[in-house]
Amino acid sequence: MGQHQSGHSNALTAGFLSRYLSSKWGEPCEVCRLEKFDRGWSRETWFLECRRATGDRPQNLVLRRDLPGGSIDHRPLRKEYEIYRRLALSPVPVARPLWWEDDPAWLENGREFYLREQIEGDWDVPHFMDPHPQYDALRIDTSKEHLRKLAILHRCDWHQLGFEEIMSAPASAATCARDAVTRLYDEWQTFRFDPDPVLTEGKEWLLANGPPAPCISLLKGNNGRGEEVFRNGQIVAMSDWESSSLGDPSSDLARCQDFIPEIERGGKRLWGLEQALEYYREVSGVEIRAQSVAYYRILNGVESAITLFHGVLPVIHKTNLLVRQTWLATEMVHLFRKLLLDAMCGRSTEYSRSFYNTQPPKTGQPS
Amino acid sequence: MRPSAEEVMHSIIWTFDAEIAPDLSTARAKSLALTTSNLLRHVLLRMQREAYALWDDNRELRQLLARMQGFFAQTRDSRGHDQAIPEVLARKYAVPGAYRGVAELEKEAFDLREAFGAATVRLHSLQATHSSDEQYRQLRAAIREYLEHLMKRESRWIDEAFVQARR
Repeated sequence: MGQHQSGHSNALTAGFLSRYLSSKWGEPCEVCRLEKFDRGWSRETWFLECRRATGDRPQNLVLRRDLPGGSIDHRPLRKEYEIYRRLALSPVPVARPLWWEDDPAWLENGREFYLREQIEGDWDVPHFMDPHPQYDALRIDTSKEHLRKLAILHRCDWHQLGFEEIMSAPASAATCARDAVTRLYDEWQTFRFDPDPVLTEGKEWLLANGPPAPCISLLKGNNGRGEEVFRNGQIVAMSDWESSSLGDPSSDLARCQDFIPEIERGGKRLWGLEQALEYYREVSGVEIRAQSVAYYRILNGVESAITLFHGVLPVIHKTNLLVRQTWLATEMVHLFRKLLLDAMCGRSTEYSRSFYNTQPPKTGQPS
Repeated sequence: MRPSAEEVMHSIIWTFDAEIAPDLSTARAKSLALTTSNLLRHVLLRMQREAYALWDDNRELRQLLARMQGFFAQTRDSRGHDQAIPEVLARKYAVPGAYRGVAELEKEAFDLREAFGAATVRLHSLQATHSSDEQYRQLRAAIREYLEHLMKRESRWIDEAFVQARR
């Protein structure tokens, strides 16, 4: 077991980063604080505070790199950096990327990394998860703020920003779901280690039931609570772009982690998916149907299962034996496959088979 | 030999939860201890149940593959894989009477599921021309029924294992 790496090995040091940043900036620089972020598990995130010889105050940066043995996500780290690079030229709030590093002289065990500026703020919105009525307004305002920022993202001109250079675009809005399913299953084949009867049979259901998209948008992928940086009630930076893609904006609404809370008082619905979709339509001009959100919850679950299959490869190859990936690839993969099977067998509580009987919605066309 | 492997596992789980986890001091260690505790129960349940589940699964999948093979023979569909199912069904996985452990059952399951995957893709390709064929519909229903059984078998080392906070 001696040669196996745990999640703790290959720790970055302030000395190494001081030398690196001094080289990049061409002046002496000292990293005075270095901290590994405890949240998040798909890649390593490090926060560093540094002081440049000519600077009048410390500067905060973020370093991202794959885990020892590889990332949980099957999409390369470089893609994440390239997304930041393009979004820095857009109205979407993101941290400014600084450098992509693949020079072997600076790499530890070949692990590439990139740096970006750190935006002051916090992923946590205090009391957001508190169901007490006194926090209803806070929870609804936070949800609206998130929807406004998603609307900005979904309306950005991804073609002009060059996203087609790093992502495949769906052939049309009508084929968004089919293209996403095909792309996902093709990606799975590149690292598949086991046959999976449920996912194999489920592919046909996913292809047959994909709703038409209102438009083709740049998608964030993972989004919602824990994925964005807040300051004074505003999202000042959207973070975690590793599962970003081009597709149906319904997919992002299906993946809002906690940020569409269900709030009911005295028998009256104050907030929930219906109200969130209506508000999103007001701020984006794009109409998203609840059925499409239900479909993408299932497809996103399949994507998560496939991503977690990739994430457990370091455990199988004994290059990173941390139990987190093992848990995700056991219980969570089981639950995502069960979600798909429930939908295939007509048991899903959120899903009903009526896509073929409805007309495409009237929409804005942001891209 | 006593204590049995199961008894040893029970002892490890109890000691870990009652004596080790409460003494951990960092947030990271506490979080990883929660994940580990859940997985220890998962391993215990797999030790108890996985061999039987794989045995049942392989047997059911063999019957389903034989049925798929019969359907393909009747459709006179000449697209590939004609030999994949007969080959895997004829393959010998154990000397008669010899003990078969989980690893051997997993190897058989892998081969059967690979053949099932290829046959499923082939069945999907016949949807347009055979969706009103009663035999085709019954076969598709049988596949869903098998998948239900597969997931039910797997849930026996998931549902009872992951019962406390995960991280």
